[in-house]
Amino acid sequence: MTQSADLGPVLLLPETMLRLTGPGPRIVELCDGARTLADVIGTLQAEFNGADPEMIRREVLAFLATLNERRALDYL
Amino acid sequence: MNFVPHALIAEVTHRCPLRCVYCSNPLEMRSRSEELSTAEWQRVFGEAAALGVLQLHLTGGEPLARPDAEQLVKSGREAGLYVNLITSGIGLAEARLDALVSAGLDHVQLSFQDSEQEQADQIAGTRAHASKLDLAQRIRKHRVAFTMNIVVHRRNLARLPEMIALAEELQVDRLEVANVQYYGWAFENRAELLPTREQVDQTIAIVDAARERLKGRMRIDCVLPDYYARYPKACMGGWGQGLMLIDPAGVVLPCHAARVIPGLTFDDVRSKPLRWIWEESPAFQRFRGDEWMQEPCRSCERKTRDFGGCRCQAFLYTGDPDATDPVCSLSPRRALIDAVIANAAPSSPSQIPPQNWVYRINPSNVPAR
Repeated sequence: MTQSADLGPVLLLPETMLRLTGPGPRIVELCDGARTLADVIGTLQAEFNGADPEMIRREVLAFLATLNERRALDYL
Repeated sequence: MNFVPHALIAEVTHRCPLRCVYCSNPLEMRSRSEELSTAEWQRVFGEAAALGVLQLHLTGGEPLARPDAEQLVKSGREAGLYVNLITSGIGLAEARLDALVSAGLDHVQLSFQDSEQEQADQIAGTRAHASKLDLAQRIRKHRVAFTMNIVVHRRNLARLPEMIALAEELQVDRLEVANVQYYGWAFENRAELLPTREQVDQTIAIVDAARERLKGRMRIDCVLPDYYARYPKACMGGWGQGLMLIDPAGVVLPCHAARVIPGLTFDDVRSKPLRWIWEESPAFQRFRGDEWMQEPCRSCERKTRDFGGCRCQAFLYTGDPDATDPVCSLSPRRALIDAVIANAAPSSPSQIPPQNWVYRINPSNVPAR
């Protein structure tokens, strides 16, 4: 993940990149190889404690599924 | 209009142990004595990052022919760039692979010529296939993104399912099924390499099925030959709009083939700042916007999507770099492409190399005029 002067936060991938918006950069940042999926969801639920925790869980899973389809995730 | 380059293709050398008949290098190559030094590339990577470049593609020739490849990876990384190494992998020993990954390499793209050794070696003009298989297994053990690139054409497309199976077996993250693009050496050999329409249709179906089956395990990108398209490709995303290439001698180009276009002077990083070359040099300005366009491009609603297609292809076929890309069905010169399709050699199962194709040569040690 890097900060592009004209595109904002981007995730750099082989021969492509994904522009990250909203909570995207934070989710990517939390996928650090140490946290489990439950940790990532739990952290975001705590950080956005005004929002519906179930909605956060579903949004994180949907976002990670998109990354996975782009082959942007590795599991340790 | 303000354009930002997001990728830099660094052709760090034209030297290569392979002699592939579809090499994208220009016919007139740079000699070793002309190549930019380690320090010069390091400076250029910094200039590129300051311009907005995010991704660095180290290619050649064979980038590992340079003894400083590890240092180039490190310099790219230090400039904040995502570093991709595009390699044939020939002679890449474990210690050097380890050093490249330790230097910060993000992604390796290993090229294959076929799923079968004999045909692969015939295309490459040398014995290379077996060592690539060995290397692929070693790359997989490192923490680095791994793409298998397989170049496809008339003579190997029948084995596309086997090629995809090989990619699965090697557990790559990404597979690039790249149809030959007909420039450079490939243009010389197009009659022997151009697939049939039927092969192209089958390719699309096979790739779509594989994508569905391998979703989440392997990303598959597929590049088709534009000769069969209805509309031209947005070549390089538009001339000088998002991407630049620097050749071994430091000459900055909008694409691999641009030097074929006569009447343009391409500047080099030894004599001019990269920012000036990108933003102001006449060659980079030449095909930006639509002032240069002819009809039918100029009044076409697709002009902001495909930019009139490829300038090099327009020149190669019509002699006029301002013409509509002749692959476009709206081009008055489309018949030139249809004639190439009609004249392409009949699909042949023959394993004998054609008598009349041309293997890529290596640059001599004497600089070209």
